[in-house]
This record gives sequence, C-alpha cells and structure tokens, in this order.
Amino acid sequence: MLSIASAFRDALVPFLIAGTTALVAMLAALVIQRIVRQARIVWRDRAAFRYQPDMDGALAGDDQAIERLRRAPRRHRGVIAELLLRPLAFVKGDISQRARAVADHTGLLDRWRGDLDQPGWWVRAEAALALGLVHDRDSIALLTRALDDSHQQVRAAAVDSLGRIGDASVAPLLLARLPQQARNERTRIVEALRRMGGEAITPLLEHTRHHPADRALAAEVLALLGGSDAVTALLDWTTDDRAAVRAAAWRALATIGIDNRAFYHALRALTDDDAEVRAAAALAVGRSGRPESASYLAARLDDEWVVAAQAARALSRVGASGLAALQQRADGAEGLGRDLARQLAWEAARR
Amino acid sequence: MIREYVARGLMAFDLGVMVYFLSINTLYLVFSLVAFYRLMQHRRRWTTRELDVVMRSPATPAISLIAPAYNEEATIEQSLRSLLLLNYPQFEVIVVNDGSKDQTMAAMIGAFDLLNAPIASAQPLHSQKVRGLYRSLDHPDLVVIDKENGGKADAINAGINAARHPLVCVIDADSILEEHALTRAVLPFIEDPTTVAAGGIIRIVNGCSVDAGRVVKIAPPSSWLARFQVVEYLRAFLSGRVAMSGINALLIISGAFGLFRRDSVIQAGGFKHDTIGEDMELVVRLHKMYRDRGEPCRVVFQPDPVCWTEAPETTKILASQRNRWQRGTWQVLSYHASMIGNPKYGAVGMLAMPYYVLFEALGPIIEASGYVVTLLGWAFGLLNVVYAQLLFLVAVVFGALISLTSVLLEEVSFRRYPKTRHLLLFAACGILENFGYRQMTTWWRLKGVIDFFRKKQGWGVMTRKGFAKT
Repeated sequence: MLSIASAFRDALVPFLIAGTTALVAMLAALVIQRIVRQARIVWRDRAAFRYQPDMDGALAGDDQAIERLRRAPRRHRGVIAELLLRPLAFVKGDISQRARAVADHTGLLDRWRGDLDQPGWWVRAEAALALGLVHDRDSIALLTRALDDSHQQVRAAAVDSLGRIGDASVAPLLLARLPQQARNERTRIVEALRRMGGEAITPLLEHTRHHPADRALAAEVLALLGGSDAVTALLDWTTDDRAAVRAAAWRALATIGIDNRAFYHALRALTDDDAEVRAAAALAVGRSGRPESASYLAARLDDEWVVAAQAARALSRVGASGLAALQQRADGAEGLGRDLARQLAWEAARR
Repeated sequence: MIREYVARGLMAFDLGVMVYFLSINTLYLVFSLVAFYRLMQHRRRWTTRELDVVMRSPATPAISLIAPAYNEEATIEQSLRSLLLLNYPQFEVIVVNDGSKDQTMAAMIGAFDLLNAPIASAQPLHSQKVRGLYRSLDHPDLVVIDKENGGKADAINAGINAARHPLVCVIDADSILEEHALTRAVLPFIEDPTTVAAGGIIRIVNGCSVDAGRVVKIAPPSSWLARFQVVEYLRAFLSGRVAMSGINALLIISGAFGLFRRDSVIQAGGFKHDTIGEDMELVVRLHKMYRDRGEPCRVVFQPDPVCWTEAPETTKILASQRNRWQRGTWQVLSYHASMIGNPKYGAVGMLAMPYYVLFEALGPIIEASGYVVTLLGWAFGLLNVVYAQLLFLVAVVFGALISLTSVLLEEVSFRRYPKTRHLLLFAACGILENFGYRQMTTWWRLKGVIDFFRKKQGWGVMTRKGFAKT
C-alpha cells in the first residue's frame, strides 16, 4: 500500500504539469478564436465607417457618391449592403425608392436576385429580406417563388418582403398558404396582408369566391382590414353552411364592430346549432354595447361553457340592464351560469 | 507506536483520497469528451431545416405545459404571457395555483379575464382538493387550476389530471422558456417512441436583461455567488447530463423544465408527495418501472432547449437549496436502493446509481473528512505539508480544467455569452471557486446529509427578485 501511495505522490508533479499545460492551451484556444472573431467585426466596422458618408450622399441623390460605391472592391459589397439596408427597417417613405436606385446602380439588386438561387438558406433569406426592404416590385415574381422555398427562414423572409412591397395582387397567394402554416408563420402572413391594407380586400374576396374553403381564414384577415366591403362579405358568410366559417365571420364582425343590420343577425345567431357560432355571436353582441341585447344574452347563461362565458362577459359590457340580468342569475339556481354571473357581477361592482 | 499507527492510517487515507480524486476528475474529463462528441452529433443531426419539419408536421405531439405556482403574485403575469407566446404547433398552458397565500390567483384572473369553468377531467392521480378551474376567453389555450396547498408534486399531479395532450411539460412558473424550447425538447419523442422523458438545459438569468418575459441580453451575474453557480450549471448540464444521456443513464430531469409522456407518468403513479427531490425520484421510478417490465425506455437530455431561472444570491438561500438537493439525492437513493449495482437495470443500476452514491451522496462526507484529517494531521505534526500543498494545487488545476472544458463546450456549441471577458470571467470562477465556495457547498451538502438522517423535511425558502428587476 505504501508503494502505491508513494507512486501516486510521485505522479502528482507530472499531473500538475500536464494539467496546467492543458489549462493554458485551452484558455489560449478560447481567447484566440474570440480574437479572430473580434478582428472580423473590427474590419467590418472600419469599412462601414469608410463608406457611411458615401452611402448618405447616395441616398440623398449624389451621383458621385453612387459611383464611388459602385467602384468599391467586391469584398466590401456586404458592408455596403448592410449600410444601405439598416435604416430601411425603421424608416418609411420614399427613402426605400432611393435605396432601390442605389442598389440598382451598385449592382446589389442583381446580386440579391441571384442570391435567391444560392444553396445556403441564410443567403437566400437575406436576399429575400433585402429585396423587400428596397421595395423592389420587379422581384415580386422571384419572391413569390421563394414562398415555396424548402427553408422556413426563406419563406418567412419572402412573406415579410411581399407584405412590405404591398402589392395586393399577391394577397390571394398568401392567403392560400395560410392553412398549411404553423402558428408563427400564420401570424406573419396575416401581418403581411394587414400591411397591404384596404387594397387587399378585393383580391381576397375574389380568392374566396373561387376557394370557399379559405373563408374562415379570410375572415381572420378581413377583421384586421375592416371596411364596408369586408363587412358585407362577412355578413354574407354568417349564413354559410359550415359552422367554422359562420363562427369566424362573427368573430371578425365583433372585431370590426356591428351595425343595426348585423346586430339583429347576431341576436338570431345566439340560437345557432353550433356552440362556437353562438359564442362568437355573443362576443359580437357584447362588443356592440346595446342594452336591448341583455335578455337575449341572459338566456345563454346556462348554455355550454364557451357560450355561457361569452354571454356573461357580454352582459357585463351592455350597461345596467346587463348587470341586472347578471345579478338576477347570480341570485338564482345553482349551476355554471350562476358561478359565471356571480363572478362577473362581482367584477363589475369592483369597477 | 501510536504515532506510527496514526501515520499508517493517514497514509491509507491519503491513498483513498487520491483514488477518489483521480476517479472523479478522470470521470469528469471522460464526461466532457463524450459530451463534446454528443454535442457535435446533436448539432449536425438537428439542423434548422429538421426543426422546421417538426414544426410543420401534423404528427408532432401536442404538449400540456404545467406550471405550479405558489405565492408568485409578482411575476405570474409576465411568466404566463411569455409561456403563451411560445412557438409550438399545439400546446396548452395549465397553471396550478397551489393554495397561494398572496394575490397570485387574483393577479391571473385580472390579467387574463379568467372565468369559472366546469371541472370535467378524470382524476387518475391523487391531489389535494381542486377548488375551481378557470379558463380565458381571450386565451383558449390557458387553463388555471385553483387548489388547496399540497406542495409542488401535488400541484403537478393536479395539472397532469387536467392535461389534454399526450406530453406534459413541467416547468417552474417563475422560469423563462425560450421561444423554441418546446420544439427542441420534443425531438427525442419524435426520434424514438420509447422516449418517456426529456429535459433541457437550465441557465442562470441573473445579470441578463429580461423584457416582456424574454431574455433579450445575456450577461454574467454581478454577484460572485451567482457566477460560481453559472459555471456549476455549465459543468453539470453540458458535461454531466449530456454524457449520462448518451448512455441512457440519466437520473435527473430538472423540475424547472422537463417533458414527460403523460401516460407513463400516470402509470408510474405521478410525482411523489413526500419527496424532496421529486423530479429525480420520478425519473428513477420510470427507469425502474420499464426495466421491471422488460420494456425499453429512454430518458434524454437535450442541450439546446433553454429554460432561464433565477439563482440564489445569498449564502442563506443557497445553503438551503444545496441542503435540499443533498437530502433529495439521499432520499431517492434510499427509496431505490435495490437498483444500485443491479445489472437488471443496465447502465442506470451499474453506472449512474453507483456514481450518484459515490460522488454525489458520499462526496461531501469524503471531501469534508479530507479537510478534517488534513487539519488534524497538521495539528499533530503528521502532515507532509509539501505533499498537501501539491495535492491541493493539482485539485485546483484539475477543477479549473473541468470548468474550462465546460466553458469551451458552451463556446463550441451554443456561444451564448457574447463577450470574451464573460468567458474569461467564468474561467476565473473555475479557479476561484476552489478557495471558499467549494468548501462552503461541501459544508451545506454535509449538513444536508445530517438533516437527511435526522429526518428533516421541508423545502426552505427561495426568495426571488423577479425578472423585471434583472
């Protein structure tokens, strides 16, 4: 045992040397790779500093500045593109048109269009984003093709860019993609359609005429776009054969707001066969804030939970008659309706 | 004569300490090598494109997120909003208010317009009485259960009862999950249907900037105590758990973020109410249940789904946490003592459990006795001072080497800390922790062992500052 212990003791010094050497080597590797990274960043910062005045001049319409940028070495193109695109994410207005002109003269536009066919997905995604930032309408066909790219980031960039360019003719294309998308991608598409504004309504309605299956999704978008054309179409869809479409239409109308005609349709929809439709109608009625709806809503307090909950919430929004109806149910027989009425009446009293 | 016996005894003890020291350090270095290989393999296997396929696949299983909450009034709204924004095709969030004494329930009702809803789920697992179930009209995927206090395990069981989806994800209500955490954590279940549990990495949020329930800027904590813990977590997760997972011998899925097959948890009887380390206990029980039945099962650690949590910054709270962890380890090992060294349980019985006995459960006893014997030897003039100093130096260098390896693993895999000085700071922590911090944790863990034998129960107190102030 003594000899083993002594052998261990003898091994301590070599152990220490080996350990310290490994420690120093690892530390050096850690620092060196970071220094290399940092050096790259410094190089980019310097290049950006050098070209910033020319970029400012180019965006202000200085032809000489554009020419200087055009003659910049190829390895500096990435930095120039970054300088061009950075302000576009935040600034609106005709700067994007001037930026497009600069991108065109410096060859960046052609480069980005070509990059959409590159094997690296990040290259394609950056190119798609850049084309959207400079509002390049000539690239709409290429961006539309990128909607079917194999990589999510590229598709997402194409959706963003098409929304930014704002050409309503691609609205149906975006809408058609809604059903296949994951939650975050759907949000992105809806946002792109919202950016297109009222112009997107006509192509959207045209699209749903040929593809009635997309009506429920279109209702979600129309809720954000609003307008009288949208309301007319949505009201029409409240009588659709499919419960999902009727419910979506009522939810959209609840967001936009309902007029007299829609209000009476909504009261009738409170007795629809489908619980989701009844719930959406209760939501719309509640948002109208009209006191005469109280008795209709009170009748739904013992319906399925989703309907009863929407009705109770709606009653708390339609004024004194609604609160009276809630109080009456709260004092009534046991059940889910009473629990909901009690909670909402209590919350209303606290307000 | 007596002096000679004592000297021989010391020599034997020396040898024991050396063997222990060599084994644990070699093991950690082997863990690091295995972890390096596994991390590289993981990066190659799960590219962004693969993740995209998972997101779009209708076969991707839906998840019920279960967040037990007890007196979380200050942070509950922000935590829930961040959970509801997670990027995953189909999930629900179930918050279990475990009889909070503050305004946690009122805060949730106010923030999410919660409404009373019927309790319609079957109750396969026992839990304290459920007082009410609430849903939100604005957030259809949010369910809040209000129940009488029964502890964390009890609250999770109530959540599992109400869960609608095949996978349940247990998280702490005061932790922050990264946006893609669920997509990454679910991968082992898609890859291999025998997977019953998967966990992600826990990172320390102290020092980082948090905005609207998202970590927006990553930086090291300002307190040394929390910095040491960052290095500890990197070592434990990126080396230890990656390697253990590689041989399917993982015994812990952290209670702060773990994904389980709901049917497996129910078959195993849910989380145990009377355990301190309920997360480790369930994982060991799952291993046992499946191996007893002769069925395959996998418990996997995924290094990239991140859950951010707040680390204690006072010695009092840290001491209580380490004491609890130590008692938990002893409790679980004693519950499942029949598995230790039992070949029937494969790598779990033959490698993981003996490792836990020797290095985790007995570790503080061996370390503390080393310090005591050194002091005694020095007091009685029996200590070879040069040898003792050399041994201490070697221990520091190897400890630092293992810590630095973890920092390097972080650098080659995820590179979360943006500045070089952050990495150098953690490397320095790997050295400095040997001068005080390590001895303190050994002492707290030793007290945990003593408390275990004194049958002390309870969790101690964890006071949190809340993310808004970080």
